This record gives sequence, structure tokens and C-alpha cells, in this order.
Amino acid sequence: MKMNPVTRLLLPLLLWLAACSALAGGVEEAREFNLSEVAPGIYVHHGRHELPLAENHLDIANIGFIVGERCVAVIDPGGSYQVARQLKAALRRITDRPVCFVIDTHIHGDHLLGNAVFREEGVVFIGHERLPDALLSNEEFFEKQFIRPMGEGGGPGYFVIPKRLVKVGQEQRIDLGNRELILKAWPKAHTSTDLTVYDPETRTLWAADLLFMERIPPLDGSLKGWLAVMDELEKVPAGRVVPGHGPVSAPWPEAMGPQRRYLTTLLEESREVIAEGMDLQEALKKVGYSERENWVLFDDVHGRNVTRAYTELEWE
Amino acid sequence: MMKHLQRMLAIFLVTASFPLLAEDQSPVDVWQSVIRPQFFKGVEIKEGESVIELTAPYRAEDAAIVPITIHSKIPQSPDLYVKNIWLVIDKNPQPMSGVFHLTKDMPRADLAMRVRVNAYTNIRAIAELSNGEYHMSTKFVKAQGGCSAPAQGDLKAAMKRRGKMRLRLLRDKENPELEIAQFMVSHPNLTGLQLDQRTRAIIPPNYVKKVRFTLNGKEIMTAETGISISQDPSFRFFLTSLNPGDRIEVEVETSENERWVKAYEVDDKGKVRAVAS
Repeated sequence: MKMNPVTRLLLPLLLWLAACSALAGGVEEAREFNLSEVAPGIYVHHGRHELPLAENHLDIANIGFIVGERCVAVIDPGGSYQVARQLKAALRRITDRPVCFVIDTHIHGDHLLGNAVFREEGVVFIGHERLPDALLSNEEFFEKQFIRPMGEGGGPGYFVIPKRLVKVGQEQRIDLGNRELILKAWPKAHTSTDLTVYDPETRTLWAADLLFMERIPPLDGSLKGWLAVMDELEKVPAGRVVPGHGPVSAPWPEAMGPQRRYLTTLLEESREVIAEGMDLQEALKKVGYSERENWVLFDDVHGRNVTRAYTELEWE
Repeated sequence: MMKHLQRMLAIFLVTASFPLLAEDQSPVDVWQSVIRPQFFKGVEIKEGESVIELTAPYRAEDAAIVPITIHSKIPQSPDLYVKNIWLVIDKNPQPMSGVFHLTKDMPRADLAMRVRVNAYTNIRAIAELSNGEYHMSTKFVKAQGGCSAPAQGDLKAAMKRRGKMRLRLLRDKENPELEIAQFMVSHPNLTGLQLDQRTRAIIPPNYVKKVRFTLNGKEIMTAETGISISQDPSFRFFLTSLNPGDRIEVEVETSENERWVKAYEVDDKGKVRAVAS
């Protein structure tokens, strides 16, 4: 391309100005909805490491979908209608095959509040056997905390309660057309509703929030349970994992190392302070601080983890 | 004792008639307009931390499990001791959270426990001394939703476990002549603000209303408590050093009039073990 010297000199400036005006038009609009193909037919959107807030529309989790020859399985539609609509639009740019399954990996709002965007004739919603109860008891909290502040209305039609359920310890297979996914429901770990998806064809384990990378793992189920589930998960013969938070894909099982270290530290140090007779208030100042530099949002989440760990372990 | 029970009952009834008041974070000053006139009418209350000091986190990590401690600056002695400590959480649906009847047989009037906090609130510990003085220590705590948070874990399992108790004796490093009694009772301590997942109806309140401790048959401490105490109520307090053979008995009563008693004896190693009550 021929360019006159003045233009050539000015080009970077012009590009910069164009970028600025795009930003002035609204930071949110300018930000493209990211999506990566981490393995053939497996697409993951990367969520930011931020607290769950109405302002970020809960675009804070890794969500995505897997494409088969016949249809598509959405794995976690996202934390709001806004995010789920963006995911749906991105999906439509990639394939015109219908969505046949929506898999909710657990109860947390940043993964499933966008469910209804995918509600259509023929779409089957799948979750852990305990997910329906958990959803019912959290609706009010979700509405008050996120849905109304996000301006998404809420009310009876907002939520979708999965009809097809996976029992703890049981495996279910779903067929996307020459592509079979293996779903597994786990005992209480990160939450009491954790479900994983395994794609044998690409040896990809979609661990969702059973695996946190970079961002501190929040404990909402059972500390001992989570560590035990990680031991089981390690046996999955995957080559890569999609964590619920962190990079969109990471080598398996090495990716579990930091989380295992954090949770083990939490377990061991909580047991120590309980044995010493330290009360919870003191324990909150002592336990787990060697991990502080290793995690994003440590100060926002760690204290609650210690509270949960302490109250779980003090009955041992 | 009866008088306290009646007072407690009275406040539970009064607050039950306007539970939304606290939830809506109404600007009404519950302390000045309700609690103070009802419990401390005509009483001079000294504010400050010269006699007791309440410690609470400014920002709670978990609104359903907020650890608080009450530290006494004077030893319990027959001449002067803390008789009662009231715990008030202004913005909770039931602000009067507990009354602790203490005795001069405790070495110190220190207490530690965990409470629920439903909205940004002042928490107050008010001590009544044997000389008639009242002292109050107040802390502001940021937390929300602690009273309506669903029960941790499986409620059915928690109901099955209810009444299971545990008592530990711990040596206090700073005061080796004292023992710390760490008591826990398994109970979901249902607040009456939690939703049943299936029926969407409110789960009726069911909470530990009284825990009474005796040492060799003599009362050492009694806690009268309400829904502000966290699931699996846990209390920690001081005892003078114990001797082998000493017997501690704990009696727990709930709002549903269930009652459990457990007895412990100090063994040769200074540890407590459960014995037939």
C-alpha cells in the first residue's frame, strides 16, 4: 500500500484518536466479547477477576459451549442476561446448529443467571441433583443483590430450574452428534451443587469452579470435601482443563497445584489453631496468610474461607 | 432469674411485632427508642471501655458467623464483679441477642461467641456490676443478611444432630492459672427469617434459648439467648483452674422446649470427659 509520508507519520496518531473516540462512546460497548477455541469445537469466554457486582453484569466467570455435529451444549450461560446474550451472539457467529443442552455447573450467579436467554423449545437444562433446591433458596438473594441492580427485572420467569438432574457419584452421557460428553455430579466441595463436563474426544475436562486459578477459590461447600473431590478429579485422563476462573485453558492435572496448596494450607493451619484453642477471631488473623501474594482478591474472600474452614473443622 | 426471663420474653414479643423495622434499616434508633427504655429505664450507663471491651470485626467476613469477644478489665471478686452482660445488636430483627448471668466464681467476665448480623449495625455489650454500675462498650459492624442466610449445609442433617455437645478445656497462655471453657452445641438455631427451599414458606424459629453451666453443682454461668446467635452456638469463658474429679454440667434448652443435659468430669490429665449425667 502506498501512503504519503504525512499520513504515514500521522497514522499512529489517527489510530490512537479513533481508539479514544471509541472509548468515549462507552467503555463497555467498545470492549469486545472475547471467545477462544481452546480445543476443536470447544469455545470459552474469559471472565475478569472482579468481585460479583451489578456494574460488571457478573462477567467474571469462564463460560462457553461445545459444538457437536448435531447440536451445541452451552456450559454456564453467564452471570446476567447481558452476558448470556453476548455469548449467544458469539455462538451464532460460529455455528447455526441448535443449542440442545444448557449445563449449569453449580449454583453461583456468575455462571447461571443468564439461563433464560437460552430457554427455547427443545433445550434441556441440566444440573446437579441439589441445584433446584439451591436455586429456589437463593432466588431472593440473587434478585436483591444482582438482578434488580443490573436492571434485568427478575421475577418468576427470570430463573430456569434444570429439569434433567445428575445424581452425586453418577455419570450421565449426552450426545451432541458424534460427540459424547460425560457429566458428573460431585459431593459437597466448592458448593453442594458441583458438576463437571468431560469431552473424551479432545480430552478436555470442564472443571468449572472446582478449579480456580489466579483468583482465590471461595469455599461455599466443604473444605475436606473439596480436597477429596480434587483427588478423584485428578484421575480424569484429561490433557487440559477449563477452570471456572483463570485462563480459558490449562494443562491437566498440573493446573490444580496452586489451589491444592491453598486449600491444604487452609486445612492444616485451621486444624492447628483449633488444637491450640485459638478462637475464631484470632484464627482470622493467623490462618493462611502465607498465601496472600499468590491470589487475586485474597483480602475479599480469604476471611470468609477461614470462617468456613474453622467452623467445619472444629467438630472433628 | 425469673425477672430476666420475663424481660427477655417481653422484648422478643415487642420486636416480633415490627420485624421489618430493622430489616429495612429504618433510621429509627432502636437502642434509644426501644431497648434502653425497656431494659435500662432510669439507669445511668457509662459508655467506654474502662470496665468491659467489646471486640468485633468492622467488616464481617461472613454475616451469619461474626465472631465477637467481650473482655473484662476487672477480675471477678466477691467485692466487685460483673453480674450480667447484655448483648444488643441494634438492627437485628431481635435486637436483644442475649443476656449472660455471670458469677463471682468465674475468674473473669470474658466471653466469646458468634453472632448473626442482618444489617450494618451497632453491637453493644452492657455490663451490670455488683455495685450497681452499668458500663457499655459499642462497636459498629458492617455485614448484611446474617439472619436470613440459609442454614449452612443440610438442614435435615443439622436437625438430626441437634443437641450434640462438646466441651473443651484450654490453657490460657497469658493466664496459666485460668482455664478456658470452650463449649459448643450442635443446633441450626433457626431464626424464623429463613426460607424453606421447597415450599418457599418461612421456616419457623427454633433456637437455643438457654445454656446453663454448673461446676460441682454450683451455677457458674447462664446464657439466655435468641436468634442472633449463629448456627451451632459456641460460647467461651474463663474458669479458675480445675482439679481432677471436678464435675461440670451443662443444660441446654430450646425455644421448642427441648432440653439436653450433659455432664463432664476432669480427669487426671486435666482434660474433661463426658460422664453419665
